[in-house]
Amino acid sequence: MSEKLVVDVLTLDAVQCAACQYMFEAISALPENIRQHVEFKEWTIKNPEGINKFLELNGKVLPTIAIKGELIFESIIPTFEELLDALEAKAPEALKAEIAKVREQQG
Amino acid sequence: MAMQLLLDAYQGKPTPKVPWVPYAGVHCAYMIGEKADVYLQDPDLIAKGVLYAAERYKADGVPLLFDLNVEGMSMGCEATWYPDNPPAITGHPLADKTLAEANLKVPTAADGRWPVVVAAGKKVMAQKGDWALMGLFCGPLTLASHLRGVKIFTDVIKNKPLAHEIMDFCAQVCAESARIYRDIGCEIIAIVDPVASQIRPETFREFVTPACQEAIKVIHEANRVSSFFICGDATKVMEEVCQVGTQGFAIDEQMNMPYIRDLAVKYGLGFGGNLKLTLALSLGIVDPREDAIVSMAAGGMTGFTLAPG
Repeated sequence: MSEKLVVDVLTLDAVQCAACQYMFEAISALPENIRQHVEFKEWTIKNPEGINKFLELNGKVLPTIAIKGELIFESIIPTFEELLDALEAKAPEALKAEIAKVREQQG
Repeated sequence: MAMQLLLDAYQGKPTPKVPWVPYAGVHCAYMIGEKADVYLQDPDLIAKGVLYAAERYKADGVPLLFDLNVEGMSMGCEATWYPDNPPAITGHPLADKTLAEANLKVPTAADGRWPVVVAAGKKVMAQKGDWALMGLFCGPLTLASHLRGVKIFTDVIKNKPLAHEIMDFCAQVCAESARIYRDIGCEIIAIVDPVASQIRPETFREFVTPACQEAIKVIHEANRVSSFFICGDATKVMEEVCQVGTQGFAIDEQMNMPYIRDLAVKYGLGFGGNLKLTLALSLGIVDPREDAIVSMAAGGMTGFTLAPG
């Protein structure tokens, strides 16, 4: 497997908070062929690791999706196309090819 | 403990002192030594927990539940129960089916989890003191998210007819939830739509505002007090929240309190917040006492209710 694109989802708690739940689901429900090239993780601010990640990324609001260390979607759950665009902008070649396949399938 | 004080604040009126509402939720279960999943399925425990919380916190109002999964689960959404949290919906019946194919029906007081909620509410109403019982129901966009999953956030931009069909259905569910809380006797009934902070203002106006109107009409025709609860950084949709038609709103710790106060005063609305749920109450990084003082200093005494954010 080639290099994976790192996606961090900063949340209050995806179980407890519906906004966080669906921000996280935007990533976790990506098509399988894309997910295989993405290393994604939820960072809840309810534990020290999550707080450290929030500080490391200079997080401002919850929930937020960060792609390759950059805060991209802050308190806005993206459409599928917006998310694909954002992933593609930072994707390694293998992931770009998978994104292209998904777009082709969607017409 | 003073119900009228809270009702006045929730309607945007000046108050001689600041009323206080702890959104106790499943914390009520913790306080009476019960697990959340057991508590939420037993009307006697819910009543015991809510009554205890009201006394313990010297509250002017307490929600009967703070659980946005009641409606979805009462329509058959798959969910996972937790011992220390409300349940979470994990299956979305409209993810790959239409409303007709999924055969979803608006849940009534006799369906799903509602009988437990109704029984608990009646027990609380029969025993409570001078404080307001608050009925909080799942707002239309959060409910649409439960039913359709994250696809709804693409639908509201790319597939508007489908999004409108789902939101129209959710509006009917919300109105029925408002009727159920009305019939329990709740003095305050609030639409709780946390994911409405995660969309653009024009999407809010097109989908959320209309989907709230029938429920708001139910609340106001029964002479109950209405509110709209929103979470997260809702800055971009706050003008829309103020114009949704409720008598007030509540916000979370991420919002700037002086901005919120000025907005509420401009529209003549009640507003609640915004103790730092995470930084102060949960993690203790910020001193909760200092945090409360800051909130109260910023909130003032016109329409303001101190509450967790």
